[in-house]
Amino acid sequence: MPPDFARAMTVALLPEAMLVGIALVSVLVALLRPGLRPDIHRWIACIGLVGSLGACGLVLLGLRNVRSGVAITVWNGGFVVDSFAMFIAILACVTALCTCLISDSAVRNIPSRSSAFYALMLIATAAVEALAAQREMTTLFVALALLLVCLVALGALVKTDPRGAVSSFEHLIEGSVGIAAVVYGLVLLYGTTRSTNLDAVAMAVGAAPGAVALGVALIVLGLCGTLGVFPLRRWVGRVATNVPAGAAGFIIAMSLIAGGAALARVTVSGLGPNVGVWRWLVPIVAAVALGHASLSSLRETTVSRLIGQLVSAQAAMLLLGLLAFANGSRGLPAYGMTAFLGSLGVTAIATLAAFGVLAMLQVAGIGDAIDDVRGLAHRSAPAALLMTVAVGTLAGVPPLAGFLTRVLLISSAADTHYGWLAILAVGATVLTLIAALRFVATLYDDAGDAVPFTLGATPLVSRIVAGAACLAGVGLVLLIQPLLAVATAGAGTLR
Amino acid sequence: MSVILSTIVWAPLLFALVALFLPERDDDERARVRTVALGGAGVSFFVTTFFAILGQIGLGQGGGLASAYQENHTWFSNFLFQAHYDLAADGITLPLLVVVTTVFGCAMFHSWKIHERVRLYVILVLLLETAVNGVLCASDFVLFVAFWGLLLLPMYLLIRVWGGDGARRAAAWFAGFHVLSLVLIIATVAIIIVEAGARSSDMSANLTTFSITAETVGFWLSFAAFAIAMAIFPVHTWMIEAQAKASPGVATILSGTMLLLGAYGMMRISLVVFPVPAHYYSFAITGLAVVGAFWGGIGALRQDELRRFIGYMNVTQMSLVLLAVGAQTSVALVGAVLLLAGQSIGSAMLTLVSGAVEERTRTTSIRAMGGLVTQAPRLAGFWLVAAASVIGVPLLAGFTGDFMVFAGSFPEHRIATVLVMASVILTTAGLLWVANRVFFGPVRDQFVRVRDVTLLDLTVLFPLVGAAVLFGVRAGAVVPVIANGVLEITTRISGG
Amino acid sequence: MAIYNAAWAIPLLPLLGALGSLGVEGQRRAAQLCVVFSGLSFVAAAIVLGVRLTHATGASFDSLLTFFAMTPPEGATFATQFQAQVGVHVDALSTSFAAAIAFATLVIQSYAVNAMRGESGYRRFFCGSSVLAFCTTGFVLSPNLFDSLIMWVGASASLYVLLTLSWQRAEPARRAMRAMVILTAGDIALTLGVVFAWIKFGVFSSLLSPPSGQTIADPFSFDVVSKGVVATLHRTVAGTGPRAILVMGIVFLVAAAVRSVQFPFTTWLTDAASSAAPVLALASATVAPLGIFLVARIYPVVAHAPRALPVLALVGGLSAVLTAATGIAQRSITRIAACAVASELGLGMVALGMGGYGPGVFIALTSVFTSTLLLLAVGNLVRVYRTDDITEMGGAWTKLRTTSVALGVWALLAGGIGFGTYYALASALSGIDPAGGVFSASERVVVIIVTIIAAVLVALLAGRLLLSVTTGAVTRRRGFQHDRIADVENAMRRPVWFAIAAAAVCVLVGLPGVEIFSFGSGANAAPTFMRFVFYGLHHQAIGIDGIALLIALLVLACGFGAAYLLFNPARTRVVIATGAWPWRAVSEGFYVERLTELAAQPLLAIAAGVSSFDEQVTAPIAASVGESVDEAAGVLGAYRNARFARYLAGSVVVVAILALLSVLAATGHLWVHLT
Repeated sequence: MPPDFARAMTVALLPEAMLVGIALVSVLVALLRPGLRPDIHRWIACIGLVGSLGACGLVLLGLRNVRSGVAITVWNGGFVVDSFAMFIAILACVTALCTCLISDSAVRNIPSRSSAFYALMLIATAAVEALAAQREMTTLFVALALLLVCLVALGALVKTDPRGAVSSFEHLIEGSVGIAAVVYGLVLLYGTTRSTNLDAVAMAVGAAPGAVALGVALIVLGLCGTLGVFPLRRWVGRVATNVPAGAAGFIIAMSLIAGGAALARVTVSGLGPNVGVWRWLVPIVAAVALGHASLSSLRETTVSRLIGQLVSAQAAMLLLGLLAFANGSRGLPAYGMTAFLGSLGVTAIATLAAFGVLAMLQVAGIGDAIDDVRGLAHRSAPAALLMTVAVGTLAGVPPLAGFLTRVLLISSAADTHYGWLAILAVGATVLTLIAALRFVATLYDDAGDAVPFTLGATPLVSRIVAGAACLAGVGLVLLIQPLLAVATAGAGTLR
Repeated sequence: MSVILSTIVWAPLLFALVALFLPERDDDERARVRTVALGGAGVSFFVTTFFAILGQIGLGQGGGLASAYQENHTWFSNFLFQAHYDLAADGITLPLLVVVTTVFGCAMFHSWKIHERVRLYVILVLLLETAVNGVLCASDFVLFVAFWGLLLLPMYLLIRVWGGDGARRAAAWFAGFHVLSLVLIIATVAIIIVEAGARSSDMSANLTTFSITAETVGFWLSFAAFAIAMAIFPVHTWMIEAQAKASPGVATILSGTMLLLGAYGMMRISLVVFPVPAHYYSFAITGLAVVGAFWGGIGALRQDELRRFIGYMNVTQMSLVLLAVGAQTSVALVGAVLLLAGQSIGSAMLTLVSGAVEERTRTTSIRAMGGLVTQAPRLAGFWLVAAASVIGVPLLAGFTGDFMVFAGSFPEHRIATVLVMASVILTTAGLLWVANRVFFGPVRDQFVRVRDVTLLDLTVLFPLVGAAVLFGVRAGAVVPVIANGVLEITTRISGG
Repeated sequence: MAIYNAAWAIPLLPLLGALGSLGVEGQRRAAQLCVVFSGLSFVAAAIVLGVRLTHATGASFDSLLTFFAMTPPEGATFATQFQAQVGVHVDALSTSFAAAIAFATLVIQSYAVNAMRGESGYRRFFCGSSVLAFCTTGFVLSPNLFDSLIMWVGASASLYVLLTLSWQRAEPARRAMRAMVILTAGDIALTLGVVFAWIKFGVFSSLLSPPSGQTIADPFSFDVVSKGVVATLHRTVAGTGPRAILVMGIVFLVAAAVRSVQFPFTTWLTDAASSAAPVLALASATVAPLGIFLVARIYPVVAHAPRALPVLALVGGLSAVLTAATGIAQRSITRIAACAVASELGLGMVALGMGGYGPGVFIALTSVFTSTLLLLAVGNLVRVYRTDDITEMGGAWTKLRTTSVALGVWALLAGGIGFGTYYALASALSGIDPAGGVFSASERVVVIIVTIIAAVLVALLAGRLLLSVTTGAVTRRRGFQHDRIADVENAMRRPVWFAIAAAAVCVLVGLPGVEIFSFGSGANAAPTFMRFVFYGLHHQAIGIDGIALLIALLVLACGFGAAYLLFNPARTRVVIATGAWPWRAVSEGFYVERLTELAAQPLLAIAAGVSSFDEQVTAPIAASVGESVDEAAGVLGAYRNARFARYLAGSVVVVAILALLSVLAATGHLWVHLT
């Protein structure tokens, strides 16, 4: 039925289309009226994002009374608009929206390029949304590549000194290595199963176990690069250090969401339990990544790198949820995906919050080294408080939201016979805890002769949004129930 | 729906938020900050005492309620297990709450002696009080763990920022051990949820589907966790270090409330959830108690730092409690709870007095002190009262607890009980020895200008004396309440 | 009887006095307040005693308050109801001792009003002594073991307060600490005994029918304990046998021995001797006798514990010998007094041990008065001569008439007129075992010999004290006008007279076998002590034991004669080789004090070991927990400064490998089968 199909297509692609369209508009405006105030572009971007959110809302409206949670499946299952996709899309939009509002510091130095900045941002968001909806190799590859390009361009765009360019270049290389791995994996799978559709792959897995194993391994490792965990995680620290915090937060958070979504799609809903490879590969990766990130978080000497490491550790923690997608110890549905999506949300918000505070500090002219923020509590109490909460949430300091999500992830992993991994995760949590404690303690140490300062230099909107993002770390503890409810709905279509 | 417990738990936090927005530029503003903080502590203190009196009526053996106040709301349900915002105050919790809030009130008064970074100080103390009250009230594992974790950051900062030299090290030790105990508790909870197949993290749920291995492992995990928090024999060093290096107010809170939490958790979780291994390994627990009692008593004799000495005294007291935990008879456990109350009050008094002595003599070395009694007789009097309460002189808080612990433990572990009783002689000797070295004897000329207790000291110390006398004289009012709370534990142990 | 409720006032009034004295302006006013309240308490005690005397055969009276109560679920282990009660128990024993102790407290306090003037801690003395009176009278009136324990421990604590009166002086404080530690050991022993008794007889008590007016049969009450002992002997108490009774008895006896200064535990009283005279008076007159009182209270346990009694008698006798010998070798008059008190109590133990319940209790009761008398006199002497060295005194008869008289009366009473020796010997001679039968001849002979030696030594001690103080001339010392000395002022003489009178009355009451006077109808037993206080259902009809009386008088004669030969300053003395080691051993109190000092040394050595262990072992463990994380992070040290170029190279290598793999895959050299 073509008309239905057409409408379906429109609805399915509406969020992405909205973003891309607005991005084009913003670019056009920039071309026609150069020298426009950056704020204009920002507000345009905001409109686009809000529109995309609205579109998502529309889809959810359609989903309201669809039991399966799957709205539309186009390209014979290659592109699915379901509650999972919607969850990721909304998360991405919210992240982008927050970034728009706190990115002032990032675009301040590049008024001429602000339209490009926001356009890239919108397209990246669109890419993430697509990534969440794909169940097919081509889309996966296209969306990944698009995302990588956008993010790298963003990083390069807002650079303030050569280091920014260098780090973007590293990001590009590392990302492309990751994508290359993914692509080779896909090629192998295709070669084995003659299908680009992951379901078909899962069906035909028996054909050549070796090749499939290799392919799956490559895909998983590559996506780990997008997720920002070991082995391909150097870019996180570099970007965090060298890119202005306002943009860095977006780059890292977006990449995190995309990696998470892609991994979930490929492993859980795509390959599923039939393909055993990833079920022993992912825990190993998770273990190594966890240990690596949390150990190195103890050695960091700059705030931005510390935050980067903590994000990476949290991302590795997400993999635990990925494992617990099958049934739990006593026939209960394992709630790993619920925990996974919930923590994904918390982590993204917390990342934004941490970098938002960092951005405020950068605007106020505070150095990046940990010694520069020693005694921050005297110089600006609110900054210290926000920093404490943000870092605490990322590191899983109890009883903040990060801690709670870690408890959920670990318990679900323990429930699905990955006890050793759970124990290891607990140990890693201890390390990040201690790292965070030491950092926070320096914030409250004696300030010496450093002069007080205020966050007044940052515009009010940015301050409010960053503060709100920080307080989400506390608020989500109380509102964990609705978050988990949404996450459950989102995870519903994956299992 | 009652919000009493929520008030007790969250009121300090609210006042902390208020204090957060108060300036502290000059003395008046600092005084205002302190007053607000005092208000926070005061609210939870008065609410606690008032409703403890009411609850005592309900919980007394006539009343027969399981717990006086209960608040239960679903926290998150759509997960592997349900977690509830579940606060309950039963017979064990109520008296301890009274003690804890009293100690925090005194600590708040003591904050008038803090002069730099007052706002941060009081905020952290209030945060700590929220955590402590929360741990005592929480009746849900996840909630318990959350509050337990909330203890970490404030205490760490309090020790580190306001402590003397060497405080960083002490703070690091505290953090290390507390994180360790936190991890162990989380592991315990994971075992409970995964192995016992608990569908909700409710503490009072009766878990019967344990495999014996899982139960044993869980028991030892939780035991280790709370043993660390109790600072009993092999893992007592962190407490002694913190006790010695932290500022007097913080040390008071540490030995007045934190140790108590460990023992509370041991009764509430190690005994209730894992009754079988708890009973099976009771001899090991008792052995630890014996060693600890002598360790603390003997080690104290050698200390030269006043508060290090008090730390060792804490080890001894906690070993008495541990003896009761090993005996697991109702009489012993009731005595243990009373003993905890007595220990908190007595130890807090000792710490405060030693802090006052240190600020007057500007030294922490016992040998450097001496002959203070001529200048400060009242201070000496307070020390003697506190010592009497710790030793277990009748009509003070310690006596009934001691007696019931001994009476309850004797039929289970005779030799151990007799040995631990003998260690009381060491405690007595130690406390009187310090009284001799510090207060008695001829006045020394470097201390002739020492002033006796100020009004502030009296304000800080008198509530504790009052509490000690109250618990000593009106033990009859407290015992049935505690007995009611202990009943749950004993029924679990006896396989009910 | 309702009037017995007045017994509540006996302990509570002094407590009120103590509390009130805290609020009073002016320390002298506070002191007077305390004295007044002690007086009232004595009046109450006298009333209760009088009523009891006129109703000697009536049932004992209990008035109880519940201190705390709970119902342990472990009914098989504990009593069904764990109920600790405090209150008053009125019977012959408690009333007579309450009156005696209240009197002693009153006299000593009224003496101290002047004697302590100018001393440090004047107010503290009266406050503390009133609290002590509360504890001591409360102890003798206590209806059960729990109440006894409270009062017993309280007595130790308040005694410590009294001993640290002069806390600016280092030495008394140190001695006070030592005394307190030893007393604490006794307290622990009593606690253990109480716990043990409760565990043993708790379940048994649940089976008994509660006495009238009470909900349960209180497992702590002395009545239940004695019933339990009897039942145990008939094998009707589960899990209890003669061995348990023996252990229980031993524990109680240790507690009693500590409290009433039996031999190895004498140091606490000799330590107390270095504090002010009124304090020593209180310690020896109102605290020390409580040990014997305890034995009397739990007499059934001791009596039925196999072979406990003869041991007790022997211990008491030896202790009397040793302490008396120590006293003889002392020069400090206060220490001599302390030793005298200890030896007298030892004789009491002998009497109790040889089955003489009434006699033993009587000796303890007498010691309350005689000790008061002695210590007041000693206080006067020390005050006047401004020294406590007995060799620097002398000629008191001419200068200090009252004090000399008091000392003489005491010497006679202690030497044998006070029937201490007589009753000890009489009980040993008759040797009636309260558990039935008589003690074996060998036991009795040994005890009798020891007792005679002890008695001689005590008489010698008394005679020496009397002679060397009263006779001769005042020795001349620098800075001491020996001709100026005069007796203390009247206010301090009056209490001494009271003490003399009371002691005389007490002895008269104790006259063996005689009925002094009788109330109207013969229904009332005449109040000779032996008819009033007795063990079992009927009083022991102890007639005059001629042999014992004879020996006692002989002993008195020997002792005083020897004293006259050895110590009379008027005539040339028989030289005593004071350098010889036995003499040194004796004068050192058989090295007990030095041993207690030495006992602390190994403890301190262990303490050093413990603290070093903490520093060497546990602290590093803590450090490793607290700080090792940083070291763990060091593993990545090398990794952190990896270079960008190396990094790029690495990624290129990865790409190359992937390319190779893909070529292999495409050309079918991998496991891929293109069909």
